[in-house]
Amino acid sequence: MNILIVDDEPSIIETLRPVLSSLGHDVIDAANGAEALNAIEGAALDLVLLDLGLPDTDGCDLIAPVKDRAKASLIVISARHLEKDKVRALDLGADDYVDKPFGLDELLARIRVVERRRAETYGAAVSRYQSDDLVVDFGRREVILMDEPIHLSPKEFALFELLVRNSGHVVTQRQLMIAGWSSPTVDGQYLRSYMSMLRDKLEADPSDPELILTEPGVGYRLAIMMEPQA
Amino acid sequence: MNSRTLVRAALDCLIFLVAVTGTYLAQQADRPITAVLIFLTGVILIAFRSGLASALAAAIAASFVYNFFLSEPTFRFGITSADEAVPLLAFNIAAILAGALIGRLKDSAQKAHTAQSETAFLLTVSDRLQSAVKLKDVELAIRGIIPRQGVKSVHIFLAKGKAYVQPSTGEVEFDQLKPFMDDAEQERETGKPVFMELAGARGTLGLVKFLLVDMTPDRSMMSNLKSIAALLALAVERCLLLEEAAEAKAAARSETLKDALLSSVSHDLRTPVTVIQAAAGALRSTEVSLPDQERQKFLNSILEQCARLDRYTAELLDVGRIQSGITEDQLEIIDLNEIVLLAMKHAQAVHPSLKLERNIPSKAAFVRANGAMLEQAIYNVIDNAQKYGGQNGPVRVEMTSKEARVTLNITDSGPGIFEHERPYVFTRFFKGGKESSKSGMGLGLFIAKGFVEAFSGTISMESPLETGNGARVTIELPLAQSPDAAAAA
Repeated sequence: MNILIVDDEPSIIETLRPVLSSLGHDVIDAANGAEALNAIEGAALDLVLLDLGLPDTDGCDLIAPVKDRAKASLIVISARHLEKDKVRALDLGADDYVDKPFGLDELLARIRVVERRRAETYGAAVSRYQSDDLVVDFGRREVILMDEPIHLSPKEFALFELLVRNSGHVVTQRQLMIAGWSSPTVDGQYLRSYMSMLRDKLEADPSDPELILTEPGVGYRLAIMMEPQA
Repeated sequence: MNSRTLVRAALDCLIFLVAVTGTYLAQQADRPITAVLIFLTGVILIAFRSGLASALAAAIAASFVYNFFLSEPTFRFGITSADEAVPLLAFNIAAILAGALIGRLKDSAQKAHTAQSETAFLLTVSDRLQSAVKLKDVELAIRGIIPRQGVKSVHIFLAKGKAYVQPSTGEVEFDQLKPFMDDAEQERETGKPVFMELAGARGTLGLVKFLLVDMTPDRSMMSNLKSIAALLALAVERCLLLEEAAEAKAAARSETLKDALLSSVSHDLRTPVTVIQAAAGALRSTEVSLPDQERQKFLNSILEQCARLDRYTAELLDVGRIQSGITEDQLEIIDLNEIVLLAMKHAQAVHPSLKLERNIPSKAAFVRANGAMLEQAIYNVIDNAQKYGGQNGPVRVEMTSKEARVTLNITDSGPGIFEHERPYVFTRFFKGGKESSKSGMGLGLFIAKGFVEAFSGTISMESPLETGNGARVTIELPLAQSPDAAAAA
């Protein structure tokens, strides 16, 4: 992939560049918002790793150009750790986020999710996703867990569909509220109770979820990668 | 009641006597019409001066005197003929009617006047209270208007939980009965106390105590006091709301500041940890295969970032020292010359490519300071000069002594500093220009200032210089006696 690292800290770029290069990616970097905009205009990009704390711009201002113009995926790397910053970035279109300091394995895992997502065929609407234990068929509104069909209510299915279509990525509460209730302002309590019903039906141990993970203050993440099938 | 009313009554009697005398003389001179007119004039004058009650009294007395002394037969009541009855009747009716009419006019004029002056007074109270923005001012304002109109003094007691506070003194009174008891001060100024509640929109605000001159206030006085209490309550409530708003604003501001500081510190501390964690992760990873040269670079980078973390920790510790205060027993008399040389050596070791020029007299310059802290302060200034101007040319360190002070100038030939940034260079977490990455935590000059000022010195920055660019930091310290001289003294 072509990866743009936007960070004002040279030592971070110097560390990430050889690592990502050794994995076969092409890396360019930008130290501030202006350089980043130039890079977005100039090169074909697949992924942008964006530090929100830039010296000249609010990192969030770069999200729209990255998504709209470069059609690239975007992972926010933030040292601020404020939930509202992350949520804002995700609602503006960021695909995922990683907190500084991050484990390299964690960052590489997030990058792999982006890579697989981008390899999926765009355009043709995917109606069936599959992983080792789970099959979700949107056309037939079917969820099959370990060969057992699971019955989901329409609202549960709508929420689960969004998680499945973004499997591996975090999905914000706001995005889930829009999917389930067509309104971002419904009581968060509704969302929590529907998520807990989903866990009751899908998790082996609902009190220790391994499939639907909570990202505190941000949203939820489906922890497995679902393969799309045409 | 008081002397003014007595004088008024005496004057009215005098007018009455004069009128009687005048009438008598006119009657003697066989001028009955003149006599009646003089008498009537007296009654009207009294009515005009003293109002309805006095006018009626005067009219009745006049008709009695007229009948008894002046009309035939004199010195007894009674009427001898219808010819006499007509003027007597006419006189009585005229005296009573004129007295009543003019007296009533006078009374309502008097009332209007009183009402107007009361309204004017309340307006003054309102005006003064309007301009008060602090609780203390409210009491001062009302005390500037009262004593007045039968009120000797005013005391405000604000409810604070279960206690009372007097805003002017700030004294807190936990005894809830205290406002109702006479204390030493009030023994001197005796009078009738009247208490009123200061009622606000959110409940009782407290009490106001008026000390009155008269023992029994009349109704209009009470309604006046009520109006004043209402105005006071309004003013007190407004001041309380203003105070609350100001407090909320200050809290929000310090909260924002704290957020900014925390976010700045967390960013600065997390960056080196991020690099260390990522580099160590890459070295351990089986997935990432790096050439030996690259692995070596990663190890160096980890060591560098550890040093950076250590530096940040030391800086935060220094800030802590400044905030907790540097005490006299941490200071000693040291030679500034030696300290400057140490700081320069330190800077040279950290920045091997830095060009340092020095112009320092060989004579010792003793100052009272803490050696390690002073070295840190000077190093921070040199480090800052290197950071912002070291690439453009040498950093000059010059020292001069004059009279009782020694001056240290550290000058760089960098681009200088923006004018709008100049006031902030010595503040915490300030980073020059827009390149936050190269400037560390933004604590260097803040620490330098804190240390230098703890040694009774001053530090300032001048930029741009005569050359149009560059910056010069000047540290001034008071010279101390040399340790030998001090020992000899």
